[in-house]
Amino acid sequence: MYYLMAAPAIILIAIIFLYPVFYTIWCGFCKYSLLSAINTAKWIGLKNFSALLSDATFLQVIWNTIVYTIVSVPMEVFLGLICSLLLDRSFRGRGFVRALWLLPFMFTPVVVAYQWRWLFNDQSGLINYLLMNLGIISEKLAWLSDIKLAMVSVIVTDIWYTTPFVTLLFLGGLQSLPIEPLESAEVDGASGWQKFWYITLPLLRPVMLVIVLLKTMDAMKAFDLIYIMTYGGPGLKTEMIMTYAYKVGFITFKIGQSSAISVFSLLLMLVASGVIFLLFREKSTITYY
Amino acid sequence: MNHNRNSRVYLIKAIGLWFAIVIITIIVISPSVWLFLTSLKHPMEIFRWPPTIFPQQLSFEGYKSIFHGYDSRRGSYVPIMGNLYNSLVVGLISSIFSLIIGSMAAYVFARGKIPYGKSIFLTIMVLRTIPLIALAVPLYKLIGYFGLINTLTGLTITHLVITFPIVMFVMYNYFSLFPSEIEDAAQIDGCGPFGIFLKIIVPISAPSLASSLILAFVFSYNEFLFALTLLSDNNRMTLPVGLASTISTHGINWDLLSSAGTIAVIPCVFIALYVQRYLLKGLWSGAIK
Repeated sequence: MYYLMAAPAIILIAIIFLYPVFYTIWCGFCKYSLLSAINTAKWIGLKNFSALLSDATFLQVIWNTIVYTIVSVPMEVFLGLICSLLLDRSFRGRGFVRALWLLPFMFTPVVVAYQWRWLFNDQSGLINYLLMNLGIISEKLAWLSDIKLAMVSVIVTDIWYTTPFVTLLFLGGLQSLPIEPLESAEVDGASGWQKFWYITLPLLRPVMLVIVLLKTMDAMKAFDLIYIMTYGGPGLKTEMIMTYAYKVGFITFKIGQSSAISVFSLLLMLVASGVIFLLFREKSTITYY
Repeated sequence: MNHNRNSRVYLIKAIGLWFAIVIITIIVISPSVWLFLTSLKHPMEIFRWPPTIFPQQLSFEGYKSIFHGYDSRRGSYVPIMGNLYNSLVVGLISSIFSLIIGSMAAYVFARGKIPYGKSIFLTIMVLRTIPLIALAVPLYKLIGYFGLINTLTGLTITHLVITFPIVMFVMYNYFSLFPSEIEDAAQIDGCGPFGIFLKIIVPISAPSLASSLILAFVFSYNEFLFALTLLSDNNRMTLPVGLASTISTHGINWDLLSSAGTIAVIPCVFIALYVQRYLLKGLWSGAIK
């Protein structure tokens, strides 16, 4: 009977996850294009991968994704931690402020992308207006079509959009921490900063590991914001692995190559999570209490 | 004297805290407020430089075109309301389906009723991190095999990829903390496993079931990539692709788009307000310690 209750779920997983994943991995080793006369997959071994690695476009795309991830994730974790610490204090109207700060985390990414595309607008965007009034820039900038500024713009948008979720995760973590170590530190006369640095932060380590892992995966899978805000442009300046895989797979219909990109991105994510685990293990020799 | 100095330090700290809170609040809400204010401006006013902050003359042109489904100034159809309806239907059906299958399985897995339950759960959580583009090509082919490309049925099936792991995650965590005495008592009274689940577990877990349903719904409502690859007919699109395609066909009509974006975000706001409290409590329960 229990098997019967679990069976639909297991069948579903096989159909919507396992079959597609293995199919994609297999396609990665095949020549398969929906547009060519040969409409079936043909095994070509590692040729797709070697073609990718000698393709300057793909290398640029990987570099963009790495830059995007390495800049945005630490910023989001840092800002999210600060916001959650502020929200963890007691002040009048805290519930209201918390509700406001966490609001964007459920917004539709496409709408967020348009919001920011409008803020960054070069003709009458609010950001140009504010920066010119503050005297930071002297003329209107075309944020999303400028070679240097496009990446900055999408990263700023991503930080605005995902920091509330990071804040929520940190806040949940802060509230589930044991209270005893902080109390005993207070008795010992520790300052607020000492309590944070020597007790709260080390206790938050497992929470932080999960957050960094989650956000790194998300940043490497960036698609919606980029697609709407810049469509990978100008040139290739904001093209990410996922937008590139989409274009190769669904615009030019080279299924084999697109699958190879997907497989490659999976490997890259695996490596990234390995690096993150190592980074977090190194410091865990510090004793907590 | 000492008391005086302490109260001054306290005052400075309080001012600093409130300063930070006000600045962050402005940064968090202004992009959405700006979009909303834009939606109330006359199309002629939108592109004015310097931009007006508040609309000088209220105009509901964008909202009118959306509700009428027809933009009389440009003479083009505006299927946004239809798209919203499609989004709601796809989101509801796929999350209810996931809830039925997922909650049963989560119960069986979390309670160790069948061997390897935990491993299957962890596998689902790992599969969840796979980029959607890697699943998009095989799912596109699978949906195409059943002739369901460019239909909402097809899209609903692919959205199970998104809704199912969320239900699984929430309900597995909930059931693994659930006390088992009640079930034991019911078992003695002669209830079968399915009877226990339906008559005892489901009524008690109603709040958690509702939360997982709502979360799953939002993720489906926000989904962009699958909808982009599967749907090509304007009337069958969900809201995110509908918004994206308004743009490509007649340039960017910011009056229309800001109104549509505002409408699209309203359900998200209410859901986020409802869900964040639940998430804060349940997020890390049992995960640390």
